[in-house]
Amino acid sequence: MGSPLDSGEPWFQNVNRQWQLAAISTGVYIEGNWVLGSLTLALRITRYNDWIDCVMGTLVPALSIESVDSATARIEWPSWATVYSLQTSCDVASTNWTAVTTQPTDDGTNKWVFVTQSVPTQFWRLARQPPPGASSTTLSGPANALPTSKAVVLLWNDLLPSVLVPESE
Amino acid sequence: MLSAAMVFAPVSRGEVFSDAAALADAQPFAATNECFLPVGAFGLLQSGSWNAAGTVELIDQNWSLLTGHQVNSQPFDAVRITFRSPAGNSILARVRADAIYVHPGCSDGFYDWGDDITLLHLAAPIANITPVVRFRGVDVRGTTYCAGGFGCPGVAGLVTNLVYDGVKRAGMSVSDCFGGDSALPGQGRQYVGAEFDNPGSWRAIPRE
Repeated sequence: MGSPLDSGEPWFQNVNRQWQLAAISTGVYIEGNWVLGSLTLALRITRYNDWIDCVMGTLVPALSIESVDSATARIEWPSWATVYSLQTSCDVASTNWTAVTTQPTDDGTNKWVFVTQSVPTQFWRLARQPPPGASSTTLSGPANALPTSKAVVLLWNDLLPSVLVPESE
Repeated sequence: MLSAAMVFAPVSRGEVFSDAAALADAQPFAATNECFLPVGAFGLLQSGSWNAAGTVELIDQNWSLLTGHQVNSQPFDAVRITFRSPAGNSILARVRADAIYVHPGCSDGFYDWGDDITLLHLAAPIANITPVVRFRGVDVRGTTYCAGGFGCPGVAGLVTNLVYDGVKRAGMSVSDCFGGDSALPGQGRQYVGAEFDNPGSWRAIPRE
């Protein structure tokens, strides 16, 4: 039996004499059931560093596109980019991008959607969503700018893959 | 786990370690005060009162890290984090969060919270505490960890004996299980597990 830790409690490991955050306590588990005390489980930070960096705004996801056939393309981005959503426009300079409502497939590493031709030239980008509240809270959210990924463009007539268009990051 | 009404009390005992490197040589798995300064208390404003709801880490001047169930498991009106001096008798920083990012993979189940992780964006930066450094290497089974926070020193496994007294403590243990072990819920690839034996591995955080 072990002492129960506190939710969120950090687990440090010594790396060249520097204590680094390696995990945070989430719960305790014994013999198939969760109980207070005993074996404490912690989330490994290494599995969430990209997500953390993305939420903090220090890591902006990349968007890729590849043609499937003459009228279909697959657009893909990393699964850790949970605070971003896919948008599309016919004009890369537009200030009025439209959200792609198709629910992406997610294998835990990447998300993707298949898109079909509707106009000769089409752009997609990932746009950071406004910060959410949680539970019953009405939090104002940080006032930092909301970045977007670089846009990718598909010229349906040529089916050019992964043409990156510089844009704000 | 969660303390409903945590009180803060000064650390009543401890050891003096003036040199982190010397300490690391002598006790390679003992953490230092410096290590635990960015470990704070997480509070929820509920019905006009602030209640303790676990431990939180400062990972950046503007961001703190905690679990998802600390904010998902109960209603609240606001959240704040508090960092105290090693002796616990003075507040180094106290700030509210203005945004909460719960990982969308965090589930509501008590037995397995999934991607049980949350980021708080702070309403004001904390400049007088050095944030923790996140490990970016490769996790290895059998690693020795030092945990520090507001864990319970009571008799493990017995709910009635749990005493969350608001004292920040440290404990050390070697990981017993690792993500992907079949015994863990959902194969638990996100987890590492350890028994922090009571009370031998526990001690109060050393004073400065």
